[in-house]
Amino acid sequence: MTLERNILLGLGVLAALLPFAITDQYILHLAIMAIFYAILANSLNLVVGYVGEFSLGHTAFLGTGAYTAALLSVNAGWPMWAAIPAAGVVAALFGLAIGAITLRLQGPYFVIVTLSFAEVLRIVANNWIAVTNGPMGLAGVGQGGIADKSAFLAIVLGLAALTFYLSYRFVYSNAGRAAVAVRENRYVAQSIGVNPFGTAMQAFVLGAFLAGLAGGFYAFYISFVGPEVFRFAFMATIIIMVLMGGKGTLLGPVVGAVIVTLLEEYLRELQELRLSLFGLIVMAIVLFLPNGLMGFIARRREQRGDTPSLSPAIEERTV
Amino acid sequence: MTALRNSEPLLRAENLTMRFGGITAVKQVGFAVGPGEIVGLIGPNGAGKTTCFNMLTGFYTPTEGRVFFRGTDITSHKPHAIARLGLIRSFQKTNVMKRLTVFENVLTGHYMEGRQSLLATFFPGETVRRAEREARESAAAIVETMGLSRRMNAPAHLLSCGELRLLEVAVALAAKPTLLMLDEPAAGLNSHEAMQFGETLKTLVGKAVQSLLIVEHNMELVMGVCERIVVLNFGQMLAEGEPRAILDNPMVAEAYLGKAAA
Amino acid sequence: MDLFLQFLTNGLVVGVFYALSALGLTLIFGLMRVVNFAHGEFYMLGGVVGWFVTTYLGLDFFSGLVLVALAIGSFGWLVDRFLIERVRGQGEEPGILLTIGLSIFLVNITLLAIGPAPLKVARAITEGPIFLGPVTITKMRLLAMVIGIALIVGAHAIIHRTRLGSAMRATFQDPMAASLAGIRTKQVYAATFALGCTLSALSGMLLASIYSAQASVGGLVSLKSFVVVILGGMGSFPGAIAGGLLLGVAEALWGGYVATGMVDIIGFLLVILILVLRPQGLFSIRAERA
Repeated sequence: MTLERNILLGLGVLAALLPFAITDQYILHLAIMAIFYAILANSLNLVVGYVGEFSLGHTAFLGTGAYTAALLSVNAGWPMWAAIPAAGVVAALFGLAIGAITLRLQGPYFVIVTLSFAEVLRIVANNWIAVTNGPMGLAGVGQGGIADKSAFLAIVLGLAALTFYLSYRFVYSNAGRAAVAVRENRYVAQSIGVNPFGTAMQAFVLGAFLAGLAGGFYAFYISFVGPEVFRFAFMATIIIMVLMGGKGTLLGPVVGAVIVTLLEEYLRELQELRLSLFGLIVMAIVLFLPNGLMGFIARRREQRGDTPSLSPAIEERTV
Repeated sequence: MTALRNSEPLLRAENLTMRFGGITAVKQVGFAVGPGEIVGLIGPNGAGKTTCFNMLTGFYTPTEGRVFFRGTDITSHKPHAIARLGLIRSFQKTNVMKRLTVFENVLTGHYMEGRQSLLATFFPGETVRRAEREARESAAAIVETMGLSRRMNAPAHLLSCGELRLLEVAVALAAKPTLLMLDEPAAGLNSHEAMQFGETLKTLVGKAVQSLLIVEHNMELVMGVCERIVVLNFGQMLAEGEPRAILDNPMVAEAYLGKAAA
Repeated sequence: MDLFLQFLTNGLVVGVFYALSALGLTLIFGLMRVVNFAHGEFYMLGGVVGWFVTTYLGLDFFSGLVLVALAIGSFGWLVDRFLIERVRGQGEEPGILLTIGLSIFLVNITLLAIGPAPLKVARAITEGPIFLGPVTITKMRLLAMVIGIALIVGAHAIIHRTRLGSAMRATFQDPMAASLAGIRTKQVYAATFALGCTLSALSGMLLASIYSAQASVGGLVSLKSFVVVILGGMGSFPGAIAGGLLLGVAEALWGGYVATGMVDIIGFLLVILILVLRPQGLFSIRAERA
């Protein structure tokens, strides 16, 4: 949808101009986190929306990317521009391996096994002191490198641009249509020659790669990586973002990421209260707004007669 | 086996048997479809027709027997691999992607033509763009052929029964089948719609598709469209031959056509 | 050999509680196909409410157990009737998300109410070890284990000897047919869910009396219960028991002989292995492919 593309471009430009208008470090931090989360949410959306299966193990890739970048930086002094892509590649390899095992399963089995992988990685990270330093984690990532928030903003924006470019291309392609077909009707997809497993792998590995990139960035930005990066609470946050914004669209995760980032910061002090609220919000969305905000908006437009396509994959491209 | 007109049959099923636990759904079924033929597969409910379809197209693996398509043994191939060889099938009632529009459904059906490398997906060049354009044009043309132009941008779940049947065929056509297999394509159509549908099917053979194999209950459609009919009963072959011969066959009449008008 | 027997015993004790909790989940996940991510939170609530009734209401352990069963059972009934019922039939995803939301909510509300510190449930009997040959076991553990086994037997009785049980089994075989036969399927679902939650909660209270009750235990318990259910086969009663005992023993042996830190990993590795090699679990009632 060209509308979608334009909105994304618009948001990107806004974000790029931010450091020139704002010097408040806190607001810059919020912007960085929101964009980081948008990348993450988008990567999960590829799996959930375009594989059509619910992966609860996505933190496996985020964490793998983070640890890869951290290890490369701390142990081998790799700079950011080398470590982050490496993080993405390693995460993609994990995606290949884990996907090969898990994508043969469906429904709740897929959910549990993906979650199991993430948990295994968390426990390993927590205990393999020799490599990961256990619960103490790896500190001092990116030491001697960038420290300026504006620079980090530029970097995360660059990563976001890459993320959304790749996702956009995938979604609006033959491959993207195949993924939608598998999601919508697995039998029909097979009868027109789509290999459900292969298609799912594509979306899954792409999602893993992007999550790995985000993880690599995270390592350098926070300059510390510990086993919490694999924890389920992190996963839940990403899920909420995808849900809230609406899965299966490119804009949805962005909307969700922004809202959740703001909520997290606004209610930062009252952790338990905020999280209780999150829980209620999730339940409310499932019960009343199952397609998230973007889905809600799309349906309103449909009812008023604009009839946009539900699947952005098919709309006329003018690029 | 029946006498076929000339060359090697497009599709050949030999001694197909399907057992589920203690139940034998299909036993020793064998027939063939030649190039340019329209073959009908009929039989009372539960005769095993859809099971046969599933075995032919890789959704079930036959307990016994073989399936050959254009000379290749496709018996234990996966459904998408069989589709890629040119054997395309439809399903009873669930052949479309309900949330997509008519156009989107048919466009998606062009998947095999547009398959490209991952690199091309991310960095599309002129070849990819041209393929996209051609796929879109083809999709529009197919929608036109099937008479659904009015509903081009309507979501599939809003279509009437008759329109859905047409869309199902359209999606299958988009996959450029050599042999098109339709499972009860006229279900839910009234006699007028069914007749028109039959005419449309006849025009496809020799042009959009080489051959046609249909499972159908609608006898008028079957008699009017098919050149050869295979009759199943209780999972076994009952009779095979031209429509007139089948109609006159007392065993068939007894098992199946008994009460219907001859 | 002595060490092995001790580990085995420890494993069996913990295994009984895994089994009890998994039993609850196999009813919910295995039969109702609800991926209940809040399962661990019901377990946690069992411990917390157990602490509350024994400490603040001054009840003795056994009355406490009964009250916890009633309270959590009713709560579970309500959750199913008013939340889960709404998304039944829409596939697994809404159920997953709904219960994730519920679990997040429950954990944090509990944290708000009682804070993160562990709490003690009043003991049922005085502490003290019992020596069975080379094996040592505390009285409390033994008692808890016995109660756990009794509960498992009770659950079996409910499922196989009561009208509710028959209604349950009929509904899960074929909801439409059961409904046509006059069974009020909505009530059956709610009752099954309630039963599942109660079993989990009681398991939580029993374990809380041995160790302590804490708001944050739910997550790992949920995961392990899923592991056991998948290991044993969805919906399989004996599978849940076998799986629970198996997991308990495997963890105890690993922890004893190899390393205590990574004990939790066993369950996850097992489930990955099972889903790759034998997706229908060890004892599945249906030969169901994942």
